[in-house]
Amino acid sequence: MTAPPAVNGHTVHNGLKPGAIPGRARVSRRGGRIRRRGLWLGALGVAVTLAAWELCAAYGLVDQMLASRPSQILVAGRDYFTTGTGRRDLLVSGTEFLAGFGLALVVGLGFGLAVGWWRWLDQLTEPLVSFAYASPRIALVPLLVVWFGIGLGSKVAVVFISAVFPIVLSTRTGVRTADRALLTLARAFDANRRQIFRTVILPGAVPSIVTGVRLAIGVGLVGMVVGELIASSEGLGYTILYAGNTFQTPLMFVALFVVSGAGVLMTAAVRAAERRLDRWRPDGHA
Amino acid sequence: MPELRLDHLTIDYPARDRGPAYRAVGGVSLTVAPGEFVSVVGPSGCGKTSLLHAVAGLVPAAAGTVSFGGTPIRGPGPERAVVFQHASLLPWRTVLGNVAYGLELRRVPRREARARARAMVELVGLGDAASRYPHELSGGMQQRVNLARALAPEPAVLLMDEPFAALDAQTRDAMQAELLRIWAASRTSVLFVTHHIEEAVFLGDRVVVLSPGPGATVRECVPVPFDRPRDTALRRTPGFVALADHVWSTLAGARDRKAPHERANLETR
Ligand SMILES: Nc1ncnc2c1ncn2[C@@H]1O[C@H](COP(=O)(O)OP(=O)(O)O)[C@@H](O)[C@H]1O
Ligand SMILES: [Mg+2]
Repeated sequence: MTAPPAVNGHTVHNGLKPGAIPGRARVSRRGGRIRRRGLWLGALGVAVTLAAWELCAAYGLVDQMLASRPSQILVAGRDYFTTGTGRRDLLVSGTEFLAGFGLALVVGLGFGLAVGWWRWLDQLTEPLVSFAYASPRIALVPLLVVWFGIGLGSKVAVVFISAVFPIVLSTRTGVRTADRALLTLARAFDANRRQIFRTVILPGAVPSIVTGVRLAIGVGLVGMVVGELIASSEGLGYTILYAGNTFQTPLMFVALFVVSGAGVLMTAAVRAAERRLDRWRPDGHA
Repeated sequence: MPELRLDHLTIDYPARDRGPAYRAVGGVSLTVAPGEFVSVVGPSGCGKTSLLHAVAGLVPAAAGTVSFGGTPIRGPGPERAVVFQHASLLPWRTVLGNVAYGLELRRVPRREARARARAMVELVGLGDAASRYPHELSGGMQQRVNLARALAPEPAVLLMDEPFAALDAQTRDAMQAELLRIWAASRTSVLFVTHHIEEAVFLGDRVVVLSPGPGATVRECVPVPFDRPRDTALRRTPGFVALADHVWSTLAGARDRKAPHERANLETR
């Protein structure tokens, strides 16, 4: 037999522990080093930008009134979360986002799987879905306010209509692009449709679904902010608008950064979950 | 004992645009006795995969029948298992998980499925790699998993579709010897399809030579007289070379169909 001796040869040659898989160990260790370097470089980029911003404002190269400066933003941020409306805004906006996004996740996955699996359902709904997807859904906010009022409901609806489409489309694609060879394999073992769905379609669709979920986080947050800009009296989006209108530029940046930070954190969480789920994929995918 | 019988098996693929259907296989008859290893050799594109998939119940027969132990075959069934040309492993399952796959689909209890899969993984020599994922395996190792997965539910007939075609020559030779060892241990019958003449002769009890498509038929059925167990050195004996040469000329459609295989018989005795 040829393969195990070759593996052992490698093991000895590379000085790895016996039983280690040389390919995987080597690749993922280098992958880890590159990831760590990425973190450092990213932090450096942020630090340089903030420093440049601060210096430009300090030496009067840009108008502080308009551009603010990081040190002021820091102070405004502290005030916002101690004496200001920060925590309340976070609660309000967080509730809107999580409710809308959760709904989009459930509906998007369910509908995406259904149209991916049943051809006729896809044909029935495809024109509507394409049309709705292509339309600027954010323009529906005034109408949603009429339907659901100025409170939580309209914002949940905005987040939902923003986030549901990427999830539906990527889920459908994931189901549709199932590996034909694996479908044939399952059929050869006399698998029924449920078994095929569970063992071939669903696991094969995961990478595509995760991509859709990541996209949905971004557009969902945009939906949340726009909803609050148009019709709200609290929340992060409302604070952005209010601070802008009252020339509290630092506060405006604080609220903006909280939204961006939440987006970055959630995307990172999805990425981490994906890495755990996708241990089977070759290294080096996005 | 049940035997696999193909009786004037014909396979058509519907044409696009209302043209006539494409006849891939045009009336192939052959039998595979219990425990027998039958090689089917034919040029690429002659309909070997179609033939095998029809026996597997994945493709319908346009005419003729496939039967097992006298019962006609209409779809996939537990007495047959396919080793696909491309390993077709579930990339999100480990070696062990892939080998257990067929057992799970047949609702073998989880614990028992794992145990049987484990034994199969050992049999094909992948004991140390049981927890690896397919992308961490070489092509030869992937085909071992493919083979173990097919054998795990203990089918009566193994249907193999050029499983070694994508391997380098050395690995291929090693895998052929491995296959014979594993087959001897499992005692299933094998219908083994290939375009590789030497492989067909080395492995088979008989070599069925197909004509090129469309409408492939059986040109000749060549008995292979060499004793088992066979080892790689057999390939270099004059008898083997002569028999392979005979299959080659049959395949090429040459007129000359006399001496070589009789000579092969004499020289091995
Ligand atoms: N699904 C299909 N639809 C139409 N034609 C097919 C299909 N599968 C195979 N064929 C045709 O049938 C012939 C035999 O194919 P195949 O059985 O794959 O041959 P082989 O395995 O011997 O290379 C080829 O000409 C191929 O183009
Ligand atoms: Mg083929």
